[in-house]
Amino acid sequence: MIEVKNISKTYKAGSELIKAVDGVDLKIDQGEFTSIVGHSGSGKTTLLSLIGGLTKPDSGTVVIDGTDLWSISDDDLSEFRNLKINFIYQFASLIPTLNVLENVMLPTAFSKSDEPFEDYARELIEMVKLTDKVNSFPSQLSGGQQRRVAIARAFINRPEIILADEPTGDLDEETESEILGLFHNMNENQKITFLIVTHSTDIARGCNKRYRMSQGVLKSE
Amino acid sequence: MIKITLFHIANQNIRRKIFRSLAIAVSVAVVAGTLFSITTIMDSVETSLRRGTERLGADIMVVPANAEMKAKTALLAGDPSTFYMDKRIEDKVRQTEGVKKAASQLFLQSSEYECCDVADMLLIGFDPNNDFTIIPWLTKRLNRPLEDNEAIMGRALTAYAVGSNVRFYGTDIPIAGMLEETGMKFIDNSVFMPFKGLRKIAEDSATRGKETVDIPLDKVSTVLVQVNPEITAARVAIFIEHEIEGVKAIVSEQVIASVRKQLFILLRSILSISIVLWIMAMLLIGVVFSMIVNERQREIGLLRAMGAKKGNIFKLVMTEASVLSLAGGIIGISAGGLFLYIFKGFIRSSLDIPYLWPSAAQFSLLISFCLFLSFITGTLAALYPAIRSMRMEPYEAIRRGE
Amino acid sequence: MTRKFVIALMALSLLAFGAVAYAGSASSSGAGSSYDFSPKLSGIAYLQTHGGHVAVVDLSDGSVKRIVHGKPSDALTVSKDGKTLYMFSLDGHAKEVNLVTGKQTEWMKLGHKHCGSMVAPDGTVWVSDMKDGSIYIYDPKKKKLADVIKVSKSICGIDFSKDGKKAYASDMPGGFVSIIDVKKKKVIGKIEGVGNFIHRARVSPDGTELWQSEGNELKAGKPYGVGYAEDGGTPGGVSIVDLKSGKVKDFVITGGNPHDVSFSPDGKYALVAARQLPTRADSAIIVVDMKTKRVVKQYSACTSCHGAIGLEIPETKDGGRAFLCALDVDWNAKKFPAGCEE
Repeated sequence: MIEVKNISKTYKAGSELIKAVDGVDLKIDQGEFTSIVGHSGSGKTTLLSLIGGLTKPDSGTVVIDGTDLWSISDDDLSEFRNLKINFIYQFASLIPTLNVLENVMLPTAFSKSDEPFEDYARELIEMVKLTDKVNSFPSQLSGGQQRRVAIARAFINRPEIILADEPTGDLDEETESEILGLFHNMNENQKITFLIVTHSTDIARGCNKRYRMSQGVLKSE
Repeated sequence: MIKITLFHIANQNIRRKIFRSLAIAVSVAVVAGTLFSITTIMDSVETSLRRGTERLGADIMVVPANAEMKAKTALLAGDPSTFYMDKRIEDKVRQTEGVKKAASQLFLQSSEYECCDVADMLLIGFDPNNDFTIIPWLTKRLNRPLEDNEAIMGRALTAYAVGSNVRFYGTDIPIAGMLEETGMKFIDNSVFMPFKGLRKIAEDSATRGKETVDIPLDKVSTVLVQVNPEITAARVAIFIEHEIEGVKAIVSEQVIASVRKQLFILLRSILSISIVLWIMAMLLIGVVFSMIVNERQREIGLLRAMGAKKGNIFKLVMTEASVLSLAGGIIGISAGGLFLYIFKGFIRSSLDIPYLWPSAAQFSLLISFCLFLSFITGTLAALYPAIRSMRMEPYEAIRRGE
Repeated sequence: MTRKFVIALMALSLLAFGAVAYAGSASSSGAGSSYDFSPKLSGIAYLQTHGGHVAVVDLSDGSVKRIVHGKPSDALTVSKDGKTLYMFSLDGHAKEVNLVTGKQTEWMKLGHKHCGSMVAPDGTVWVSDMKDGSIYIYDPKKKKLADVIKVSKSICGIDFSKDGKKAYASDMPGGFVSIIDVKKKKVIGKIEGVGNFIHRARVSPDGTELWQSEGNELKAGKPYGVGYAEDGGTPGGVSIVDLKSGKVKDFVITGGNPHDVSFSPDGKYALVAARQLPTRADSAIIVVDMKTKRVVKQYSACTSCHGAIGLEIPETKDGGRAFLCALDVDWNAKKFPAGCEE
């Protein structure tokens, strides 16, 4: 369960202070499929990073499964992320020197688990329909294919939570629906909690819970 | 079964920018190569000089006053040369204050080359009863007194083996022993024989040889001196010159020290250039790694988001730097080694001093030292960029890298 | 009767007064109308210089000549018989000058940078080396180096105790004097705190004191010197060490950057070689009364040639100044030796 209490984050842009997230409260139960809709610059991505422990809030707390993310050490937080959370970004996030299989397996480099991840990685690649590209490098893939690799990678550690930031932003409609289908499938079968940040109301419509964010303030829809 | 490791990621990063990686490795290689060559030569010179002095076995070499230069050349460059002084000088030297042992030697250039005679080597006569510079240095201990008609060979005269004969002025001389290599041609290229044997050769040359030898048996070429431990060789040399007319007492340590000083001034200047190179290489690598870290901010942020700890990021940058440095070190040391191998003859001849290559153990030590230095070069240079990369907040890194 | 006695007494008094007045006028006639209380010395003084010549001063009248030898030098010693002058150069060479014939030997390599010298009781000459801190023992009979003794870092002055058993060698920058066993040729002790930058040490004729010239060369460079003492410090002089206690017992200020000391054989006067007088561009021999420790006379060493005759001192590293070093006196000599030039 994700429990966000009165969380705020301010940035300094030149001499101006921008309140990206302003006193947000949020509660997401395990296995929920939640969306946050908002315009660009509304603070969605920052909120996602705060929930994922990638940046420290100025105030407020983020508690996931009883762990207050900012009360533990940086190393423990890294381990926590590796075990429980994974991210899907709105940009190409592959390592250009690694091939598809290696990119998908990348999070396992920081895992304590002895599990042989290769078979599962191949399964995930098959799931995103890139079996024939296993040995290809990112530069040999289209933008959509790269996005699918990133999605496959997000599941390799068997995370409990996926935080997705515009996961289908630049994908065609067909691929978008395929990806969303995959997300729902994972959500139903593996009880993975999804929190998707999007400006697409269509994507939001298929979620259990929907929020709207505007000028750093989160409101339930 | 594929397993992704930090080393694998670092390795792939190195390959990704092959020219940049090569530039780093080559800069380390230049430093490592220069340092390796210079330290090897310096070490060789130092070892050779030390061994040469030890091997000479004498603290002082007494020669005729007018033969000082000739004697020093013989001592260092090993060119055979002959000079003589009165044999009675040996006793006078022995009586001088501070002298522990004195042994005379007589230098004879061997005859012009004719079939089956040994030519153009230095035949040195000595007294086995007083000797302390020849017999103790045999490769194989001679468990009996040296016969008058036997000879001991220098190590460089490889054509002869113990047990075989060498012919001088028509007389066959059995070889009783071989001396350890010293690097000093003066010893390595010489044949040593008891005075009595020499006299016999001279007498027999009239009947057997193609020319009659006129060996100045009432003369000696040098008196080698070992001094008492409580007094310095320099003082004893002063006493000898003060007491005995017409002689020059060459303190071997002083000769060696002056050569060492001259040579090391030259080598040190090369070494200081390598140190400048080293610092430049460090700066270059530091700048390149700062660039790498800046360029890969988003990647670093992504890795952190995937669960990479700060230490993992630090290790990743440092692994890359270490691999490049070590590779550069290996390339440099190999190139330096190749340079030394190809130009060994040139180095030996241009230095014009006793020269022995370091032993395998010393070589390994030098290689380890240069490898360690190469490793340090890259790792030290990359240390700050690595720390900076490690400290970046994941979200900031991802955002800035966009 | 009484009247006659008084007249006779008056006449006698007048006679006595007249005799005293005559005696007084007779004794002062040599100095003209003024009185001269300075000592009358007799002998030939030799002063080593950086200019490749020795300044020779006739102590009876202060006239100066020179012996040209060709190498900038610091050290100089006259043999006991007064027939030979030994000199040792700043580039480590030795030379002898026969004072009877004026003949000079060739320069012979001895050490590195010689500073002081003294004839030892056995007739050898002990020569200090300021570069390696050793004493080089020169055998004048064989004209050869006889031995070397390592003393300290940078030595200059050398002298022997009256019984000849000990030698004293002053370490210039160290400001201490090493005591050497002459027979064993080993350093056996040290006298500390003798000065800032000390040059030559001489044992007084009675053997009880060591007179150590202390230039006290000021860092600011006045009087001209290398500069070791703080500005406003004591001017140069002679540090007197009590050889029994091994402690400095007195300091005679002479000024003028003193570099050497010599004594009259009767033990009445010390002659101090002053390298650069503060008052004029000259070096001098300053005569000190050993009892009162007062300066009683001064001999100019350089101006009579360099000033009066107009010989210019070349602009060398000494800055175009007369640079006088060691001093030794042949007290028996009555005239300039052979080989002297005007």
